[in-house]
Amino acid sequence: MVVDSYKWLPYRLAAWMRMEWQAPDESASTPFTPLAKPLSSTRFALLTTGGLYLKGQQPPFDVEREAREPDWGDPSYRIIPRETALEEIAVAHTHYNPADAEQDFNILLPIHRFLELEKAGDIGSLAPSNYSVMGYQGHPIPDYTQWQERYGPEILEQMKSEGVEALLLTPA
Amino acid sequence: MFEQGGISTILVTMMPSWAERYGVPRAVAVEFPFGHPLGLPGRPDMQTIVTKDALDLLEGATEPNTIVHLEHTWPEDETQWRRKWQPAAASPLVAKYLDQIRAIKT
Repeated sequence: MVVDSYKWLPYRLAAWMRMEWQAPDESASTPFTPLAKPLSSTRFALLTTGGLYLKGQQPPFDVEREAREPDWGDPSYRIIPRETALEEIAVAHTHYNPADAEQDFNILLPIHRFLELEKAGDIGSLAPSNYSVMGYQGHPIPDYTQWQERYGPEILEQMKSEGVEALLLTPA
Repeated sequence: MFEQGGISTILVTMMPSWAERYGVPRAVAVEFPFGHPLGLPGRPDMQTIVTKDALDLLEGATEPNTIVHLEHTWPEDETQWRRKWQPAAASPLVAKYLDQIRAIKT
């Protein structure tokens, strides 16, 4: 089976995306860090672009500014602790229907699944901190500058300080 | 960036054609609607299956740009879900370019 990247998109939206969205062909320079240890002794963190945040404790992603400036997306991130309960998460993301994510954030950030794998010994552990960003970073060429120069390095430093060895990435 | 920083990464993607263009250390592709990379809410079984597929590739991949297309099909009605994953209101981006989008001939 070959996964159709455009399967769920209405015809015109898919056609427009194909015309408008520009992805550089950078596959030749992809880095690769081999997994150093078995999964069962590896510490994981999770990162999603689904726009998740802790309700009432963290500010939502700035969808109001995005409404005023449609070619801009909020580059900041939120830390989602491993102790987070289902009802503590809300979503701020204008590009998909967040109802299911708000009901069960594990469909995007599988914290509870990883806690189960940790308990079963299938993975070493889940780190204290997990992460959400909001994936829309502008149009027609996404601006990843803030991610690359500021927030990405901050997240990397936090992960390293927590002994993270592997990362699951889940887009919305 | 994380891979370069010494952390082994595994991506779950619904758009493998984009992962291919950007280049990715390892990815599993799943044909699920946007917002649902690991499946349905309240379905830990689905979420665990896709998670384990991702972990298998994390462990088994030996070189960058390894993308595995998973066989899982979305268990719900496709026609319904072409609409269901979409936000209630168009995103600001889509709203801005709506005329252009609507003008595309089918």
